[in-house]
Amino acid sequence: MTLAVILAYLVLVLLIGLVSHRLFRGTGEDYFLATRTIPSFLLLMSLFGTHMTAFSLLGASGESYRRGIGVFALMASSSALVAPVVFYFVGIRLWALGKRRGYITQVQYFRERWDSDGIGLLLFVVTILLLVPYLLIGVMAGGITLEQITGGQVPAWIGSLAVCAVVMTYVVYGGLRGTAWVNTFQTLIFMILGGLAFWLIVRELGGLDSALDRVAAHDPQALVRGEGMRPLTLLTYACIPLSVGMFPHIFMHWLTARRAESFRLPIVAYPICIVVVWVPSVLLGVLGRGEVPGLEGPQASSILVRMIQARGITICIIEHVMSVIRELTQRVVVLDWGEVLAEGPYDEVSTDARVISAYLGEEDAC
Amino acid sequence: MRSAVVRRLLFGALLLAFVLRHDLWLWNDSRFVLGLPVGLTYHIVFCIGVALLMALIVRFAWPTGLDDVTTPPGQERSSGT
Repeated sequence: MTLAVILAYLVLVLLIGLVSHRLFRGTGEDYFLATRTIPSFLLLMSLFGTHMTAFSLLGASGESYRRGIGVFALMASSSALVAPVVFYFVGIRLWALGKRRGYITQVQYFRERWDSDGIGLLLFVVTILLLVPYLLIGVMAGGITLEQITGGQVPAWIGSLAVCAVVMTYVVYGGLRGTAWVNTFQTLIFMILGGLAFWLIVRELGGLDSALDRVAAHDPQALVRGEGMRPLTLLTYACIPLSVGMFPHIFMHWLTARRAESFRLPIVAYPICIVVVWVPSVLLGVLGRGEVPGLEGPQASSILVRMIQARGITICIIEHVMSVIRELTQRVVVLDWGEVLAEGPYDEVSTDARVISAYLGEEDAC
Repeated sequence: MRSAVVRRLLFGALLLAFVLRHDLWLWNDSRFVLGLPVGLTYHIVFCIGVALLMALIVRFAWPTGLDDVTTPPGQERSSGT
């Protein structure tokens, strides 16, 4: 079922890209900038989706699992203030300049602004060097998430390959128009499903008030910034969104606006979108500390997936291949001649001498 | 003259917002306000405040003349999107 939903989603994304190709006018400017016709709402959704990425849903919940509610102040409210300010002071002016001078790429702007091919070339190399790992991280994260959601049915490398194929197809066919459409679709799905997951999980936990009361009783540090975060860190994080316009894809989304007026909605609604997406993610991460304690490192980033799985369908697998059990299960029950021999997490059960003895025989167990 | 004053006031409010974001006085405050930890409620209200401030800025301090640009030759408008 999970796999079917994921496949349907990927097919839908592909279709959006392919349909957008029907509006293609056959010019470079139309391919790269949708002939500067993107209206306000699409501009908001594509900018927000491009800027926030999957981090704000999966990464934010993982980060708040590790560091508590302070993550919102650290990462979200800085973007809520600084990103719209950059759109206002830089974005609309670059849009006007781009339209006047016919710029299509960021490199063109920098090359002409300083009248230097060297600066253009340097920026080209720097952005390629920065973007390749940035894109690869997204592709890898997509693969890992698919692996987790499907309980290992889709290995991470196949998931990454599928993500690559879908993205390349809709980008190559749809150009920036297709990308803006897909970004809008994905961002809306992101917001709706994030809200839905939050509502379902909180309802299962007996309501937000009682769930937070439990966190306050057992893990009060999760609800304050405390010693785990320094005031100077809060200040330095405010500088990060200043870089928003230096992402070449965001720069290009700026250039796609139909009019300068098209920036009004993104500038005003950006902080609200951040609240809509980040608050549920941060709260779920904090609530997850009580529900699935002890996750460390990259495991913490999967907290949202684990919580969704935890209240979805319980799957009972009868299997003797231990590698499959290790990958798929959270709790293992070992039966020997019709009686429960051991029960618990895989790591615990698989090292139990009685289980080894029953599984491999007395001689091998020794 | 009046619009220049309004612009300065609004840009000053932006600087004030930047300062207010750094809510050091709530650092270890574990109270609940509106059903959420105060450190989170404060920043949600802060974001809504920023949205309102940006609405005032785009209403009263929108840069003029940005749309008055000549489209370079060979660039035609598409009815798409």
